[in-house]
Amino acid sequence: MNELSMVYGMGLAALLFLLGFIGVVIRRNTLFVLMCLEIMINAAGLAFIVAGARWSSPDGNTMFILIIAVAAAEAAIGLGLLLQLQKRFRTIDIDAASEMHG
Amino acid sequence: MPIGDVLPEISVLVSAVVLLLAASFMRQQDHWRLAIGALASLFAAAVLCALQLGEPARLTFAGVWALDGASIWARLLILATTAICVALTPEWLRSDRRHGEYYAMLLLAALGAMLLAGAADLLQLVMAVLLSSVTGYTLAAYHRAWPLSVEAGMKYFLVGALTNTLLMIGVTLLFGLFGSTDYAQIAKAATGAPQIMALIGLTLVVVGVAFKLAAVPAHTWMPDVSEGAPPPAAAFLTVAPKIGAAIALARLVTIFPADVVAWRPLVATLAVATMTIGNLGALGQSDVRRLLGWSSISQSGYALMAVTAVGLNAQAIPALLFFLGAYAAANLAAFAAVTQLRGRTNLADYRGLATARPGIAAVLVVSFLSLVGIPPLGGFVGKLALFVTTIEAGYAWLAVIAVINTVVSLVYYLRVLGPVYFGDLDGPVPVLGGWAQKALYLATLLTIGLGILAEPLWSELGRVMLLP
Amino acid sequence: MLTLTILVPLIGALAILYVNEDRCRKVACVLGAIPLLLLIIAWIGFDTGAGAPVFQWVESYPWIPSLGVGWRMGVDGIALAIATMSALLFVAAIAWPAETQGRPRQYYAWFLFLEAVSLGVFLTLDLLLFYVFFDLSLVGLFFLIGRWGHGDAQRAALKFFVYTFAGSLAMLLAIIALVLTTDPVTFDMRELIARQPLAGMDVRGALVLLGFVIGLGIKTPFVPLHTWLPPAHVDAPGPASAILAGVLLKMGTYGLIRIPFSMMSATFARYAFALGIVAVVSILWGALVAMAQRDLKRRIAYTSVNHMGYSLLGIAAAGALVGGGEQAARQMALTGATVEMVAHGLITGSLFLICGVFWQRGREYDLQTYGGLAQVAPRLTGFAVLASFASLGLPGLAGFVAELQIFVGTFGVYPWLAAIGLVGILITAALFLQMLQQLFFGELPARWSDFSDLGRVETRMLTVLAVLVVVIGIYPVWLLTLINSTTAVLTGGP
Repeated sequence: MNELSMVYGMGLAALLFLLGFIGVVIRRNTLFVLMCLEIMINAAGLAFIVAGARWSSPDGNTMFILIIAVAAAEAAIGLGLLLQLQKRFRTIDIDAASEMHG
Repeated sequence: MPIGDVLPEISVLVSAVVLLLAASFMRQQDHWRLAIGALASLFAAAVLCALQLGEPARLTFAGVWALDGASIWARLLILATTAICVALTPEWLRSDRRHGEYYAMLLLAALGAMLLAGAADLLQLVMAVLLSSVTGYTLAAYHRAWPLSVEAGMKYFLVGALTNTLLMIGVTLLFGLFGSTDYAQIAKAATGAPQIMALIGLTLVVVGVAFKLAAVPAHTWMPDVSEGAPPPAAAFLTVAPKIGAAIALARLVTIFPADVVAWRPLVATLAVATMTIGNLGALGQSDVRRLLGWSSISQSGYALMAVTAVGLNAQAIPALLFFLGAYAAANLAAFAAVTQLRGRTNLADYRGLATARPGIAAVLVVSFLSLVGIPPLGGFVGKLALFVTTIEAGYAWLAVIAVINTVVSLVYYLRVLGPVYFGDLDGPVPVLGGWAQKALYLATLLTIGLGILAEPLWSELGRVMLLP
Repeated sequence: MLTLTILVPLIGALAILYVNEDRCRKVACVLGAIPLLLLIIAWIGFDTGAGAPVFQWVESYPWIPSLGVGWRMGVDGIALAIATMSALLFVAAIAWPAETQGRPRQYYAWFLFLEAVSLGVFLTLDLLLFYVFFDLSLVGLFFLIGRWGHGDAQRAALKFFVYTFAGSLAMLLAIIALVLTTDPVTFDMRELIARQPLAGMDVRGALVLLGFVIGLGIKTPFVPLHTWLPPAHVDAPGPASAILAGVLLKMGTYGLIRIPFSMMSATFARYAFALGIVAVVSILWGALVAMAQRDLKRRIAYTSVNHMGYSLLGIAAAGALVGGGEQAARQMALTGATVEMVAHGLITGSLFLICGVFWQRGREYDLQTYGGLAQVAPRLTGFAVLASFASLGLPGLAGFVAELQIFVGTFGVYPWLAAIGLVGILITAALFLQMLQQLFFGELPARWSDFSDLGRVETRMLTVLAVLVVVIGIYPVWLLTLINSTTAVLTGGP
C-alpha cells in the first residue's frame, strides 16, 4: 500500500472515531449511544487493517476479525441491558436512569 | 503448543461450560449444589496453578502468555477471591430463577481476570479485558428485576464500552508504530528518542486497563456497581479484575524504556488522582456499599504507587502482590459482612450493630482497619511494603500524598464504625446464613493472618519477578 | 519476661469477654496488676552499675525477617521508669469505679488491650513494633472515648483518632526513610542507635527529623499541634482521661528520646534550639490558655501541654550538643525530662481521676458552679490540693524534683530559654491556686450539699498515687539512680 492511501485510510478511521465519540458524548438515547460505540469500534478495525498493510503483516486482518466478534458480543450485552432498562424505567434515556449518584 | 501451560485456564473454562449445562438440566432448588462444583473446580485450578510455581519463568504460546511468579501468584489470588465470592452466593440467589448460571458467569469472569494477569501481547490484553468486561456487565445487572441493578449494569457497560474502544485504538496506534503486538517485539522496537505517538497510544491502552482497575479516568462505574450489583457480585467486581489489571498494567508499562515513553509520571499522576478522588468521593457517603465502592477506587490508587516504582527496585512487584492480597481479603470481608446482613446498606441501619451481631461488627472493624492500614493487620504490611518500595524508588512525595489520603480515609471508615459501636439498636438484624458466614470469617482470618503471619508469604513473594 | 508483660493483658482482654459481668472488674484488676508486678521485678533486677549494658532484659524473636522486623523487647532506665509508672496508672484506672453503661466486659477488655499496647510502646526495641503499638493505642482509646465518653464523645473520638493517626503516619514515613539507609534493612533499635545511619545526610536527616517531630509532637502534644487534646479529654470518661494524659502523652516525649535523640543525634543537635523554642512556646501557651478556661477538665488538659513543654525543653537542651560538652548539665536536663514524665503521669493521672469524681457526682465541669466543697468532701479536697501543689512544682513533691533538674540543666545550655520558661511556672501556680479556691473554698452552693466524698476504692487508689508523688519529692534517689544510668550514656558521659 502506498503512503497516500495510508493517509486516507487513517484519516477515515480518525473521522469515524471522532464521529462516534461525539455521538457517545452528546446523545442521551442509549440506542444511539450503542450505535455510536459500534462506529468507534469499526474505526479501530479499519485502522488495524491500514496499520497491518503498512507492516505488510496479516496481524491487522486477524485483529479486524477479532474486533468484529468483540463488537458483536458487546452489542448483544448492550442490547440486553437496553431491554431491561426499557422495562424497568419505561425509557431508554440514559439520564432518566440515575437513581444512584454521589 | 504447550497446552499444559494453560491447564488452570482450561480447567476453569471447561468447568464453566459444564456448570452452565448442568444448570439447565437441574431443578432450580438444587442449584446450590453447583456452588460446590464451582468451588471444586476453582480448587483444582489453584492446584494446577500452584504446580507451575516450581517451573522457571518463561513466555509460552509464541510469546503471548507470560508464566512468571507475578502471573502465577496473581492467578492464585484471583482463584481464591472467586472461591470466597462463590461461597457468598448460594443463599443470596436462592430464589433467583437463574441461580445456576451465575456460577458459570463468575468462572468466566475469573478467567478474564486470570488472562489479564498473564497477558504478554496487546491482542491477548484486549481479549482478556473484553472477556472480563462482558461477563462483568452481566454480573452487575444480575438482578434484572431490580432497577438499581440494571442501572448499575448499564452504567458499567457504557463506561466499559467506551474505554474498551479507546483501548483498541491505543493498541492500533502501538501496532502501527512498532509493527507488532508482542511485548518483547515492541520492547525491541521502542528505543531511541522520545516518541509522542507512542505515549498517546500507551495512554489510551492504560485508560482501557484503568477501567478494569477502577482507576481515574475510568473509575465512575465503581460506586454504582458497588451499590447496585448483588453484593456477592460486587465483592467479586471490586477485587478480582483489579488484581489482574494491576499486574497487566505493570507488565505493559515496563516494556517501554522510561526515556522513550515517559510512563512513570503518567502512572504516578493516575495514582495521585485515583486515591484522592476515591477518598473525596467516599467522604460524604451515607450508603455503606457506595462508600465501599469509592474506597475501592482509592485503594487502586495505592496499588498504582507500586506500578510507578516497577523496574526501579525489585520489591515493587512483591509489594504490589502483597498489597492486592491484603486488599482482597479485607474488601471481601467487608462485602461478606454486607451480604451476611442481607445487603443492608443505609448507614443509619448500622446503628447498634455491635449489640445485635458482635461477630459481624468485629469483622467490619478488622476489615476497615486493615483497609486503613492499622497494624498488625494485612493492610498494614501491604501499605508498609508500598511505602518502602516507593520511597526507595525516589518517589517519596507519592508516599506523602498516600499518607495524607490514608488519614482522610480513616474519617469515612470511622463514620461507619462509630454508629456500629456507639449507636443504639433500633430493630432486629436478620442475617443470611451459614455459607456466607463461613466466607465472612475466612476472609477475616485471612486479613488478620496476612498481617501477623506475613513472613512466609512475604519471603515467598520476595523472589517474584516480572518477565521479561 | 517483658513479653509476658504485654501478653498477659492482651490475652486477658480476650478472656475477659467470657467472664461473669459481676466479677469483671476484679478479674481485670488482677490481670492489670500482673504487668506491674513483672515490671517491679524487672526494676529490682536492673543493673545500674557502671559498665552495665544499656538495654537489659532483652528478648528477640524473628517476625518478618525478610524486612528486618522482629519481636524485640528490652528496657533501659528511662523506658523502665515510664513503663512502671504506666502500669501503676493502669491499675488505678482499671480499679477506679467507672460507669460502664451496662457493658463492663467490653469496657475492661478495651482497658486491658490499651494497657498491653501502651506498655508495648515503652518496652519494644524494634522500630516497626514501636509503630505498631503506637497505632494500636489509638484504636484502644478511640473505642474507650467513643463508647464510654460523654458529651459529643463520638466527635471527640474521631478527631482524636484522625489527628493522632496523621501524626503516626508522618512518623511511619520517617521510620521508613530512616531504616532504608541501612543495609541490610533492619528495624532493630540497638543497631540503629549504634550505626547513626543518617549521619552526614543533611537534607534527608532534616526531613526525617521533621517527620518524627510532627508525628511525636502531635502525640505529646506541642503547640501548635495540640488542638485535638482538649475535646478528647473533656469528653473522655475519667479513667480514660487519666490514661490519655498519664500514659499516651508520654509516648511522644519518650519516642523523641528513643528515636531522633538517640538514632540521629547529630541532626537532632542541629535543630535542638528550634525544638527548645517550641518547648517554651508550649510552656507559656499551655499555661496562659489553661488560665483562661472555666471548664475544669479543659484547664487540666492545657496544663498537660504546659508540662510536656517542660519535658521537651529538657530533651532539647540535653540533645543540643554531640559528645561530652556540658555533659553534666545536659544529663541533668534529660534526667529531669524523664522524671517530669513520671511525675506528670502520676500527678495528672490523679487530677483527671479527680475530675471523673466531679462528673460522676455533678455532671458538670464548669468551675463557677462549684464552691466550698471542702466542707462536704474533705478527702477529695486533700487529694486535689496535694496533686495541684505537686503539679505547680511545690518543693518536696515530685513535680519540683523534675522541674528543678530541667531548669538547672537547661540553664547550662540555653540560659535564655530557661529564664523565659520559668514564667510558665508562675502562671501555673496562679491557675492552680485559683482553681482550688473556686472548687473547695468559699460558699457551698445548695445544690452540692449532698456531694458525697470519695469512696473506699477511690481513696485507696489516690493514696497510692499521692504517696508516690510525695516519696519521689522527698527521696528520689531510687528513681534517679535508675534514670541516670541511662541518661549518662545518652548524653555521652562516663
